[in-house]
Amino acid sequence: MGPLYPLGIINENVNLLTAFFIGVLFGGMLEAAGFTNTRKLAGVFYGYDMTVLKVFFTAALTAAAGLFLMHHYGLIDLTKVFYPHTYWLPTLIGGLLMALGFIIGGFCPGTSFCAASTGKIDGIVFVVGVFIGIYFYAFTYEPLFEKLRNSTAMGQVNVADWLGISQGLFILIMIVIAIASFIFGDWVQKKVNQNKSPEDLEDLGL
Amino acid sequence: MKKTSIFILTLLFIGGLWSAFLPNVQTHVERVNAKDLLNLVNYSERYLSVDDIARSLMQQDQFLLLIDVRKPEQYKEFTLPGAINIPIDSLFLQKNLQLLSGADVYTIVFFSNGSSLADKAWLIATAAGYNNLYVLKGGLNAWFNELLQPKRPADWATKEEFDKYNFRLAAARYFTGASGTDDATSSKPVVKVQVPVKKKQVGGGCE
Repeated sequence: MGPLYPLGIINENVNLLTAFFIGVLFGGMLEAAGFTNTRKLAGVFYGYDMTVLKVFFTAALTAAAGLFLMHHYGLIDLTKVFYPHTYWLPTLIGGLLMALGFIIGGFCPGTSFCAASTGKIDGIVFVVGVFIGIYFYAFTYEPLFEKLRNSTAMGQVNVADWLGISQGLFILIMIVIAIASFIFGDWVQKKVNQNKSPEDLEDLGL
Repeated sequence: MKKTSIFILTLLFIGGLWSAFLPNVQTHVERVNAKDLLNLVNYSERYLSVDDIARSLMQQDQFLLLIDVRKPEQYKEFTLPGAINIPIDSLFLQKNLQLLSGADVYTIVFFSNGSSLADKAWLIATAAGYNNLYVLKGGLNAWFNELLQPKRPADWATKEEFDKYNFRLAAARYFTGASGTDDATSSKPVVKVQVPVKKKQVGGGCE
């Protein structure tokens, strides 16, 4: 049945419109979960709030298990879904930079737009920074980044195949790791917050 | 942990457990095997010499299809007689793929200024499953330097080298249209050298 657009079930306009509505819903959910608050987002790095870890880890694994099961019961054809190539060094550097920006600024790109749209000044400043970064990268891509960007190509790899275990087993292992990390995260959070007054916690958006 | 969290995580765990018993998704990507790729790169039978191509052109071989993989500007400036232009970046356009799949009927030869761009095109197309393709060894550089301006072999050279030299002289006249006056002399070596072609083919068969 799926994916809808690659199989020609919906046309490009419907595809974009669907993406728009999913985007609006996603933004609404982020705001409802308090993810437009930098303190809540950065909490994962300081240990006082593990919500980000829980939400994104759960989301990724729900998607993984869901897509895998749907593929086996004929609801989606995973072989027609976009599958990115891996370049490990630029990905590693990019990931570190992203984490650094996350710690300093308190947003990831998606949540910064949500925060900006709710009128938060730090969100708007962050979005301006995002655009400066985009233009900087675009105009210096050839002299500065192209070589790095194309280095250490590994092709379309998959961790499960690389480890030589079945894909379903890998998903199960990741879910077990996630649950363990949530329990550990809760323990850290309790430990970090035990000496804070209710006002402090209020200030952190908890 | 809250009750809802426990409920969601239990669901997720059941989903994971269920997944663990299902077979893999067949990966859609055919990965290029390094060994196969190396074998392809080292496969020297793909090369045709400028003499082979010149001979086919002079005999007006209907089944020779020359593909210029350089940029359209370069193609407009100069190309081989009868060649069509498929720049390497548009090799996989639908209409071009149809052309490539005609390789069992036509002798399809890629060429560029040197050999490397044509080699690239050959490698990409062959890796994508199109067989029986060829590359003009040395490209247009060899066409100019070896075929159109042949160097006279030393006096003690073998007869074959002299035959080759004579053939190239004739080919140079044929393709550049230079000194059209001595038509008789120019056509003679051509006929003469057509004999070694047959010899070569027979020789190849015996080996």
